[in-house]
Amino acid sequence: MRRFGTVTGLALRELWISYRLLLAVGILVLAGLPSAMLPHTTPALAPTRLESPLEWFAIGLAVALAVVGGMAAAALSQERRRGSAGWLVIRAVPRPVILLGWFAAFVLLLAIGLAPAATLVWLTVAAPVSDVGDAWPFVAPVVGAWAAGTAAVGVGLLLGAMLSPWPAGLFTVLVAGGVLLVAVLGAFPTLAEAPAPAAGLAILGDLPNQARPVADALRASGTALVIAAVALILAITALGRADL
Amino acid sequence: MRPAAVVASGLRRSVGGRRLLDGVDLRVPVGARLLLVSEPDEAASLMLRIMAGLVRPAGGSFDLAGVPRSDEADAGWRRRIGYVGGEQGFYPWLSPREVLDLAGRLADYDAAERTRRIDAAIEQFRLGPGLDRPVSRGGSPLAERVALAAAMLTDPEVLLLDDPLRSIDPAERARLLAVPGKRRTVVLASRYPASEDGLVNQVALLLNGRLAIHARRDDLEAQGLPLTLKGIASLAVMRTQTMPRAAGA
Repeated sequence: MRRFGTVTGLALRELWISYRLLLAVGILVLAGLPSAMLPHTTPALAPTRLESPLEWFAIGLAVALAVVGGMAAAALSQERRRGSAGWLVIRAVPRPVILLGWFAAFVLLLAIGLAPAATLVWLTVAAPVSDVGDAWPFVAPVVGAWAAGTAAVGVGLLLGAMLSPWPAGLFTVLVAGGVLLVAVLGAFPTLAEAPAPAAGLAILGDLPNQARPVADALRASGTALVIAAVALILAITALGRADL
Repeated sequence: MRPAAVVASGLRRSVGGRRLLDGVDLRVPVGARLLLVSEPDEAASLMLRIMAGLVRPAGGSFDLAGVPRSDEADAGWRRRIGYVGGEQGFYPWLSPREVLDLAGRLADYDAAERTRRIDAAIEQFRLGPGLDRPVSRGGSPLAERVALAAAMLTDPEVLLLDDPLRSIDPAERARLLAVPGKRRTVVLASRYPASEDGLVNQVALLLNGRLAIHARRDDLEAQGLPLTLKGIASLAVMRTQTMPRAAGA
């Protein structure tokens, strides 16, 4: 546990010093800006597709979460390449601990970036379309988006354990971005009702029309966390076989 | 026969389709200072990386410091092995003091023991200037000193050195690599064998994935051969020529 804390601390410091922490948090906060700047509509006006500020928020988040996943992929791959992971392994830090330390750092980073973005959108857009005073129908899909982000990070770490930095990062952005954008732009509202890992974003984008946003979003969060766990197990296996 | 600190048997590994290690058997006695050279160059480095736990062998096994490898989580065992490779590995934004402190914490030393060992390392490796500035500001020579100091912090029984300290001037390099300790075993992989004169008392050559020769440094001198790849290869050829004759006699 102590070694896990050490690796997470080193990962966060590395992300901070290389400006990647600021970049990731900035991208997540920026995802909330377009929706705050769009002209406000009310539920009665029934906005059409891509006119809803919440849908723009979901689209922005889909892109930002994919980028963070790509950063995770590139970061782990770089750790392998420049010998930082090897330096720790030589000093009795097990490879799974290195991977989980980086995962924890990125999951924390997602939370740090999502919190102000969601607050911004809640204050400017979401509060009028929800029952004022009841934030849960908004918070639950945001948690779902965070969980989808952890799945993107998990997939990124899996690819980062196998590929070199640029291919790993790019491939993660394309795969995670594709899945998340399809969830937001594609088949909703049917997707929002399915236990898909990216359904949290779909629910967020179409919040005024959701019958059970909290229950569906929590179910989507659970699925996304399962995907993240599976990706992590595969990543641990891949890193265990990798040359450091 | 002296007990062995490094025992490798049948180590095999290919890289990029090339079989660099093809069943290497090697036995290095406790206290030996072995120069390991190879043709191709990467084979010796690969062997050290395998023994350090960075690369998985395709086959074979090895023991270091009398313990079968490897429990990555065992700090107690890990204290007994040191490794310095071509890449320094630690984050360049850490200061030398932070690198040493991190190495000490990962070796499970308490604060007092860490301080004692770090102070000794600072003196031995002359890390005083720039001790609290990022290692990257001191360039490669400082990074290499810090890497060796971190590896030596645990006073390891077996020290694996993969062509280390190439940015440091030869006299200072020789001083740093002449690590004290009669029972400490050093395996030094080098692409420039002549530069290791005075640091080693045994030589070994890996040729096309196999151990071609493992001899005393004095054997080279006795034959009037230089401490070069060519010289060691010549000794290997002489040995193979004399062995059938001896067997025939």
